[in-house]
Amino acid sequence: MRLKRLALTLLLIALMTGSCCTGCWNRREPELLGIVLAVGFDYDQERGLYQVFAQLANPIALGGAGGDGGGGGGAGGKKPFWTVDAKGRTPFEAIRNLIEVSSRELFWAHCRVVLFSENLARRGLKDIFDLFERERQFRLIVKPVVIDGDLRQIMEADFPLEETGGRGMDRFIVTTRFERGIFPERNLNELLVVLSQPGQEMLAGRLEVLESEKKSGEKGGEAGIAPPARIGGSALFRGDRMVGWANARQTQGWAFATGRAFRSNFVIESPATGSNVNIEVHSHKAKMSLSGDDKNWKIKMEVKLYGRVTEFDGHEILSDESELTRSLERRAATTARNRIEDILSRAQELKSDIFGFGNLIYRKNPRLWEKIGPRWDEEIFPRLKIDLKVNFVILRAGLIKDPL
Amino acid sequence: MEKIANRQLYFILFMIRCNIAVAFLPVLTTADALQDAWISSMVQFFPAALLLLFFGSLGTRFPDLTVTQYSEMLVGRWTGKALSMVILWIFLHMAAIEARTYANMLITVLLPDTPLVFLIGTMVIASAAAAYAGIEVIGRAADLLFPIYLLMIIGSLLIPLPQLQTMLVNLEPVCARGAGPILRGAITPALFTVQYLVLTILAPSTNEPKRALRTAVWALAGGSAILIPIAIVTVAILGPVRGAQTVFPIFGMVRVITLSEFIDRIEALAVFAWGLGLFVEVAIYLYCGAKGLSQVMGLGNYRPLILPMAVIWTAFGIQVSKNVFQLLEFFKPLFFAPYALIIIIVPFTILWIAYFLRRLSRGRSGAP
Repeated sequence: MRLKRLALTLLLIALMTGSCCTGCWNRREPELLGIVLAVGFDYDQERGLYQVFAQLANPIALGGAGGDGGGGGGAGGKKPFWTVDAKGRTPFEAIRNLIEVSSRELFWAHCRVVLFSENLARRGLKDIFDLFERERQFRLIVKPVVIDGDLRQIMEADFPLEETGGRGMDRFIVTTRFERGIFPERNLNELLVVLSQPGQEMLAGRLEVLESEKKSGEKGGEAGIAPPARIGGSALFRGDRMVGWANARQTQGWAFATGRAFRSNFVIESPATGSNVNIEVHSHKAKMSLSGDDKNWKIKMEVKLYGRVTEFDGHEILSDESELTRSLERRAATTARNRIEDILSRAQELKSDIFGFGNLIYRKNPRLWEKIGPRWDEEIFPRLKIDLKVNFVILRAGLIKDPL
Repeated sequence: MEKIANRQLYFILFMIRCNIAVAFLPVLTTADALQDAWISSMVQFFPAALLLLFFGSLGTRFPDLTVTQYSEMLVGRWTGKALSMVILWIFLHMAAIEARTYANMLITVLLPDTPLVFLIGTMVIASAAAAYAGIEVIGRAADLLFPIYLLMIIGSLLIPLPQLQTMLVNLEPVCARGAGPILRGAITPALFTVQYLVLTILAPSTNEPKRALRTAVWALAGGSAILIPIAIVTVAILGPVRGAQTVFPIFGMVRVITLSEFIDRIEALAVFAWGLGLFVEVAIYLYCGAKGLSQVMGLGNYRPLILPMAVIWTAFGIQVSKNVFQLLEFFKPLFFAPYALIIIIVPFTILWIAYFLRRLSRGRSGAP
């Protein structure tokens, strides 16, 4: 009896609740949303306005392109994505102003990459970071990239193997991470953690826009399209401001030094004949340590790389451990070492501690950091000498032993 | 009389404890513990356990009575009722604040236009139905929900593990700023023991009332133990400074974790676990509030009180703070510590004194 009454009461409550809400407050039909695939930010110096580019997926064309087997620009000749841009005094105002030019409400949660123009990066990214942390639709798992070249061009570019540009750039970054180690692949959250901790500076990836894209694109031949962009290299920051570029090799040095490279490739000269040997690094370890007391401290960096011979263009015998393999290891170690030293001197020149040496001191000896922290960027880091040890082990040499 | 097993009491108290950490991780956000938040999570257990023993052990002297009953016995009818009302007030207040925090999170992140009254109201109605059905039903619900709850919490701590190895450096330097920040970080979570005042109402309803306090201490230990990995993972993934800045740290942490490019956006885990915990929590608060109030008023049955109380609690959930800033300010040690301490210390000190006086006078007169 009581159960029956309870059920009745509950039913009544449910009905009443149903009658007071005439619809869902936050109803959003997926087919009415403009899904943003990639977002780019620029800064208009003359007018002092932020400019935002949003690349929207075009579901009609996307479906068509899949159906007819990748024919041209999709169904009805429409591109599978559309890039719009707007300006505003703050990044958020710029985003809101996008509504004026787009026919749909924008949905940002599926955005995978965020692009910054060099112009904006040099001015400072603080406002954008705040927007990404505060706004609910943005995810900090987006991949930040600094664009070397025209932002609009890359936002509108076609990546021949991909349906949309945003997806293309995303794949670009993931592939590079596993194959080359010339791009610092970190999501925005990891980058912001670096920014929030003392004694370290951000290093963001770089995407270089290739000029040839537009011309060959107009000719129309799908097969003849030149790649729209080249990945590799990085932008060094001090605080939230970019201070300079590092090239692909230097970035590889950074990846070795911080233990973030997956595979990397280098060519060294064989010691005997001077012919080329190609060695691929496939795993590595890196360790930084602080030794000594408050007066006499020293930073030691040990990098151990493991690689294999992928190409051997000489006539020597490579079948057993010999002076040759040891010499190859030494040469490979020197090559890696040069790259690390290269990026280190570049970082010191720009006074940007991208390795986090200062952070190492802060973590291991906070009292010492309190003393030297204020002088770190300007005085200590640019003149810092570290004890760098690079070790290379060639583990294997592929399917054959001696060259032909 | 309806009874719950001590196991069920353990689950209920565990979820009550853990849910606060899931909601806003007070060790990290209420003070300046930063990367030492996980040490604060350990430290807070001891004062929390002391407080729990302080008010819990009086209940073990009266295993068959709730606090409203033995306070009337100890200090007389009207004083006893007044003290009981202080304790009942905290149930209302905690339920309102926690429902409000949850609704706030939903509005901030998921449902920006939904009215507050709807979000709080649905939660309170669901809990009221459970409370109306009785403590046995809540106990069984806890039996059912606890494994899911724990699984989701542990899941959201395990998925970021591969990312952790490079980010554990964020926990250093350990204890670099002395004991001050650690202790300050421990204040608010330690005083969340006020939640455990429900024990003073629930203990007589357990199968073994004499062991109820022990169950509660173990639940406190369990809830504190899971706080440590939560604090570690959150600080590692978000960094100490950013972790302390976020309004909902666990949620923020879960939002940014990715597992090898394809498992991401798993915040449903955290939101769902939080919701489940909150349901049990509010149901228990409502039950305890109604039960206590019916005893104070001398009613035979607590059930008629549930519906009017649910309405009042929904309204109070909306009125409890003007905006999110007030809500966050409330949990700062400077405000929350004296508030919670007074709620615990004042009534129970009076009761303890009365208890000892009574024993003393009985001992003198020779009565057993």
